[in-house]
Amino acid sequence: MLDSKLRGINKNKNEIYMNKLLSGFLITISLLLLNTSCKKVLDVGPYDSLTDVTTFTTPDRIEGAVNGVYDAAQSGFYAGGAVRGYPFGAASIEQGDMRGEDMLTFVTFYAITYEATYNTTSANNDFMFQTLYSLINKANLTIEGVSGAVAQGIISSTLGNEYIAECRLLRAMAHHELLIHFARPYRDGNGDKLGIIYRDFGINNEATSTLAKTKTRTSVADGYTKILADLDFAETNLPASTSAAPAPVNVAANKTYRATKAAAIALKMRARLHMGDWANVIVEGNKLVPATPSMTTYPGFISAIGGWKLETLPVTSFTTAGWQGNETIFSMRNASTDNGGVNGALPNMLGNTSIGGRGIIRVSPIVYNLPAFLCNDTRRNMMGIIGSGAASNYLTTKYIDPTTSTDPAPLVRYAEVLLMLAEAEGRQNGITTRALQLVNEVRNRALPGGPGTFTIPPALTYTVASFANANAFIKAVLDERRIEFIAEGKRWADIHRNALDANFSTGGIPAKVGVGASTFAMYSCGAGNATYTTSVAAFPYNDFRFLWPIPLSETQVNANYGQNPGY
Amino acid sequence: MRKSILVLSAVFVFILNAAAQNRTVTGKVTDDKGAPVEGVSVTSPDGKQGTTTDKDGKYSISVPSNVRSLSFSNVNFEAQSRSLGSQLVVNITLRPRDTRLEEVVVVGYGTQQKVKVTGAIGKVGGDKVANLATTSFDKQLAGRVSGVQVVAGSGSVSAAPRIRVRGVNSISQGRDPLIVVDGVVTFDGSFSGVIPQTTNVLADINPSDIESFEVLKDGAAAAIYGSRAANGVILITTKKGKAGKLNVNYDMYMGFSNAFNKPDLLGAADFITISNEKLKNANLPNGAFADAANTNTNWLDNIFEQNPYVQSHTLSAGGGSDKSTFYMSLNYLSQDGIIRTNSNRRYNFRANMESRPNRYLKFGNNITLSRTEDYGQNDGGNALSGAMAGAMRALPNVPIYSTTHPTGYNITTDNAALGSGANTRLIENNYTNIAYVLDKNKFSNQRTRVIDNFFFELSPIKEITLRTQASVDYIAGTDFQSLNKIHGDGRGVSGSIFNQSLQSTILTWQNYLTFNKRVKRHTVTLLGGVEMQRNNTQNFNGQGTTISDPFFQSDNLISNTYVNQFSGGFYGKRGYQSFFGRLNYDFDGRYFFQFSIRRDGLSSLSKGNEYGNFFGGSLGWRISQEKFWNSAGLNKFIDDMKLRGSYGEVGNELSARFPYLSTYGAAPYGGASGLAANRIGNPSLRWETNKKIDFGFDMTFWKNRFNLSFDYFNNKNDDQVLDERQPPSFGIPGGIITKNIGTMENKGVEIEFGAQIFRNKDFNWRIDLNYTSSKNKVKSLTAGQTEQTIAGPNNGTFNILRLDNPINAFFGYTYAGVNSGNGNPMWYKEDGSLIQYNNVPGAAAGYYFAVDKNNPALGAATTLGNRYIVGSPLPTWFGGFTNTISYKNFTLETFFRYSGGNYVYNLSRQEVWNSQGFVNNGVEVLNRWTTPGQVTNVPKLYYARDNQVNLNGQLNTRFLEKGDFLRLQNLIFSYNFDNRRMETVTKGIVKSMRWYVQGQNLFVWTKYKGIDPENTSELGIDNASVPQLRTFTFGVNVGF
Repeated sequence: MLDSKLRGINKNKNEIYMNKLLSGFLITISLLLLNTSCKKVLDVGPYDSLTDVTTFTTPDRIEGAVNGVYDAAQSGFYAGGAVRGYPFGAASIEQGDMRGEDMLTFVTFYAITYEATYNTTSANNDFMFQTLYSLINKANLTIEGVSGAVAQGIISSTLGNEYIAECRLLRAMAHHELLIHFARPYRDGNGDKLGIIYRDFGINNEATSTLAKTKTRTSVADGYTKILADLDFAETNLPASTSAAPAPVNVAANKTYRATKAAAIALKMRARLHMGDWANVIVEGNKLVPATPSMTTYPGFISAIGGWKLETLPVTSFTTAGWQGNETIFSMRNASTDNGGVNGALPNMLGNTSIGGRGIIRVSPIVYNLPAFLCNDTRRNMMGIIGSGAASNYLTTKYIDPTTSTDPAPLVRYAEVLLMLAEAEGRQNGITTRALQLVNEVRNRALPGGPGTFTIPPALTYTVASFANANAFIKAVLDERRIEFIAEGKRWADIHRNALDANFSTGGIPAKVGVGASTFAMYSCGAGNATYTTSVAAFPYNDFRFLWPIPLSETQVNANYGQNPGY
Repeated sequence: MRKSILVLSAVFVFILNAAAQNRTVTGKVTDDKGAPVEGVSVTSPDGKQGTTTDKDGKYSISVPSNVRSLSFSNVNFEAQSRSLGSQLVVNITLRPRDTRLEEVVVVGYGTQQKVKVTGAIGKVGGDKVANLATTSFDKQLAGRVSGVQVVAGSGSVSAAPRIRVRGVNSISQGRDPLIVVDGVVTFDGSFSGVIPQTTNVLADINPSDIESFEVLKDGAAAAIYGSRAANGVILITTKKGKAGKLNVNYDMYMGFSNAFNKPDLLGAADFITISNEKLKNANLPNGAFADAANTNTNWLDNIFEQNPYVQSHTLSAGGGSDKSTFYMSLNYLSQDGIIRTNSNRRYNFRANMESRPNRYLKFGNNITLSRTEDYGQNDGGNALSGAMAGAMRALPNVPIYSTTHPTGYNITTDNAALGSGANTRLIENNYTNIAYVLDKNKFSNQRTRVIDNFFFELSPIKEITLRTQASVDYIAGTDFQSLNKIHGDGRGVSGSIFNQSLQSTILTWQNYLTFNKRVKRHTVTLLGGVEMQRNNTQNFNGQGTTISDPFFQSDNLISNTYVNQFSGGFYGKRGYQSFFGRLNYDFDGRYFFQFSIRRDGLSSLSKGNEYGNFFGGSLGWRISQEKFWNSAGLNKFIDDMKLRGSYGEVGNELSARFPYLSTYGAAPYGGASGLAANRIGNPSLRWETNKKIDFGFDMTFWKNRFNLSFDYFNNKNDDQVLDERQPPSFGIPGGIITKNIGTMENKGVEIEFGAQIFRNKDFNWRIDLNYTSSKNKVKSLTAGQTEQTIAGPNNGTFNILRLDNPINAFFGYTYAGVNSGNGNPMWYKEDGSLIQYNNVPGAAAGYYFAVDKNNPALGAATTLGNRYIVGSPLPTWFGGFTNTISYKNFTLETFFRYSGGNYVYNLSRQEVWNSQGFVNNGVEVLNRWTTPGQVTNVPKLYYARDNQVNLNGQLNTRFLEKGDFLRLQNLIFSYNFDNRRMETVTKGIVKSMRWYVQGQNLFVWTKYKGIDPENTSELGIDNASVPQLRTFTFGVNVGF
């Protein structure tokens, strides 16, 4: 009995001891477990991106940010996140041609632009608008980031200014593209028409967004003033050649893919040409074109800045690996991993199906049959036949790599510098020797007998006698542009700037060959008479469709971006 | 009669008292079906005498003569006492205990008696889905629980269904419920980069391992999961071994399926007529011609597996002693899809053990290993090589194979498109030979999954339990995609091979303490704990294009067989730090109170802003326990009645990993690496808040034969994360700044009803019914805006967010039929006026004109006008209905599901079956307008004028159809062998056996003209969807 009682006590004691032991254990463990609430688990950041704070902190990252601005120019977004080479990687060329009459869309792919049935929600004009402004904002954000980095001594002010110059050049180019699509030309009332909103500060938070909301469309003239200011800065601060630029990713590869002084000057020539300011086109052009060419060698003109010159053959700049030739002053770089894709890239949309392209954009009989485009012009060799029999058409062979879509998008070639200068010279001073030399420099290399030299030119070279008057000469220069820049997207800009020109206007959007209606029989050279029919009707300059509409996505949320009349 | 017996008994008692001597009473105890009950204790009122019934339910007890009654009790039955009269034989029938109210419900970090539950929790037994032929259990939850909607948008056997608890609770963020397996948050959704919509990681879990599903529907129940509870929580509890007996089971089923419904397409002859008519009306020459062999190809027959086979085998064992229990299972499943390239294979192993060496300690481990393989194909709705998209468009008058093409298939000489045969036109848009594509291209995902869960429990005193639990959920997988270089999607790049390695991990550590104390009539349960979770995702891929030879395209990248090489990858983390607590208080089993709180810290929110508190409270009153209930005589009709009310505020975490940050992402310029702003962050961004109100009651009546539950719910979804659109001219990445701005509401009622209509020894009839009605309304958007576009097909032009309308309402034009005068389609403008699009070639072709109905003359030129809201894709009522009848050993169970109140946009009808291009059509097109005066709903055909004839690119009411349906989801006919005979015959080797035949998805009653009213995207659009399966299986369950 006692024993069992004792056992009971012992048992109780044991139990109390056990409980104490466990309680101590429990308290220890509880403290340990509560400690598991370590902060580390929340201390996580992204692995796939830097932040706006950390990007402009090292020279390499700043270089990356500048590349990012070029990327915005080369491969902006399209509906659903696809990349179709908006705005400058391919789309500006395709849209520029589709708004004109010299290239045609064989299927309905580009019909909205081609037939001018665009509205405030059609994708092509909408995404040009969106990606141009996206490029502009990235340029502005980078300008601000670079300025901050210079202030902190992370990079030198020389390098900083060079980066800013690149950003301002791209910003100017984007605004100019907006002006030629969404506003009337400068020469309509000397720029007093409604222009665009010129964005010159970065928008990246609530405050800057609020400030941006107060901005409204200014005059076309204001736009050109700002473009020229940006380009002046670019000219001053850009190196003559990117090979001199510090720490580029790859010097050779950047030769034509990054902006240089010559690109800034050429773009200024373009802006002045649109303004009808012939004298200043000449002033700018003379920086890139020597006053006297070499008379005995070809090319005769070699730029003092950057050493740019024409290739001996027209095709060379399109076949030289990576286009690192002497002629392409500025182009957008595309790569197999980064391009406009099968729905956008130039070789895919313009290339022949026989090499894997889609052959959607083709050469129109309108330019093919142009009387100025001689039958034996070797630039005809840069066209191929797509399809077979009566249904076949010509298309360009300038873009050659649909398999991996690596063809760059040509933006400024030395040929354009020469022809802009020739036009201004003709308009300002008439058919001068220099004007003739400039256009012949471009034209002669495509003539039978080769480029020759100014001393021994090919037989068909232009002379004073070739033209009845100065206007005939200017017309020839304008035709030369159409021939030289087939499939390079320059047609719309020319239609736009000359829309009110007394002598060279197309009167608005010209009539075009119908979608899918082009046949082989429509193509002929030499005869001089058109054998094609134009079932896509012309639109007069005063028609509202001469301008693209401001996208609905903009006007819905920004009352200050006024709509173009008629939409 | 009963009364007279009572009077007689009383008289006998009196007589017996007088006699006062010992006697032996015998008898038999049976249940309400008349089956004998073993193990019933039979005792005298003072407990001095007692015995239990034997195998045959018989007992014999000797009691003194002063014992005037006997008590009969057993855990499974309601106790009874019977007065003793003079009789020596007392037979008694016991009524089964209403175990439903004693059921235990899993509630998150613990369990609770169902009778005490004050939140809205739905429960489904694992047995409901265990024997269904399905790759994943979630597909079979549809119609089982009120308030839970499950839609399998595709018939692909690999696809994950959409599960929505009490409506769509987020406009832009996640809408799936949180899935918690054995207490730990687990992966759900897809795990593949090549077949993104067609894998489902929940298929890694073997349905027959599941003990039960609990769905936490209201705020109070879900609050314990805080920031991730807004879309409801599904708790899955897996099977564990039970102490005492060893159970070994073999479950198998096998069967076959067919396409539940196929699109009705044109044959060759009709195709030729229709195509040439399209061309002729557009002034084009005939293009379609019969070939010499009069070929009539049914392309659907080629892409469909004729009788896709399914089989599943599960071997499981469970058991243990009072110190340790274990359960393990092995499963193999193989299910083939209706598209012949689609299939799913699963190899699954599960094991768990729990041990309690003494009363202070308990520990256990629970591991799942699974290997799942999914095979699929391009299912793109408009994809040139999409299986359904291609087969429906393929020309029926050309053969599949051709001896003249080197591949042996009918392909054009440039390999770009399906060969034209005798036709003089190519198939529109270069649609491919889908037979070749399915034969040559490969899409697969193979994954290995480990879920392990270890816990250790300490209970120093019996009121306190401290549990620590560490878990890992790890998935590693590989994707493989091979696109043949000759024809199909791979042609453009000369063949493509894509290999991807994917890996995701969730690591969780939970520590919590439970305190449970009962003092007199007060019961308190307290829970408090911490949890941290880390979530890693990573993948890398390699791709090769321009393949040297198709031979190297079979199973993996092979070095040096391709020219162009691409690679990519991703790495990302997320973290959660949580503190949680819950108090349950119950007074006398009558009044219940519960309060939960959770404090969550999320790595996806900005520093200083990352923590938030979530809470929920609920009250319950079991009114049937009040004295007045009985005194008022209510208990005679209503056995049990509980009123409930709850309120909770929970969160919906944001899908993006770091939505608050302004980031600079990779922005290579032509391949040269670069950085660019890719998001403008908003540092004040928070989770979406979901305020949930619930009122309801649960009752059982008429002697527990009927049960009824009712709930009213209102979910107010505040702080909805919406993208405030910035003007595109700002150039902000994505054009948006994301903010917590919107409000959306879901409200409705839920009813669950069960009835044991008839029950006796041989015959048993039970009905279960549930009904949910739910209405969704967008209450606020960006300040000053009444509507907002959404991302979706055609840039979201088909659906819209507009104030006071349901989310993603259909937005389009109203069809007014065909102008019988000229065959032009007509539309109503917003002002009610009629317009027509003139398809008649000529000067006026291609413009809109006002119209007088049935007058061929064209009125004034006009425009199409504005779109308006024409319907909602969200069902407003849905539910299920089960009818179970058993007679002796036979059981017949039928399960119906229904849903409606929504519309479905039949995009296949618009873009394929009525296409104006040179492709095959559906039979509807045969009703096209051909002659003046003809009244029809199908406009005159006109080649290539899809945008005008069918208004392609825009939604219009011609193709908007009601989505109401009633579906006979399951029919199971089973035979249960008599257990005792089975044991006798097999000498105890086989303890139980059940055979069954089953039909799934047997029939649908609907007016929907497409393949299936449930084949829709979340936006309500049916685009070339894969037909659902109708499956017949035979199965056996054997217990050893």
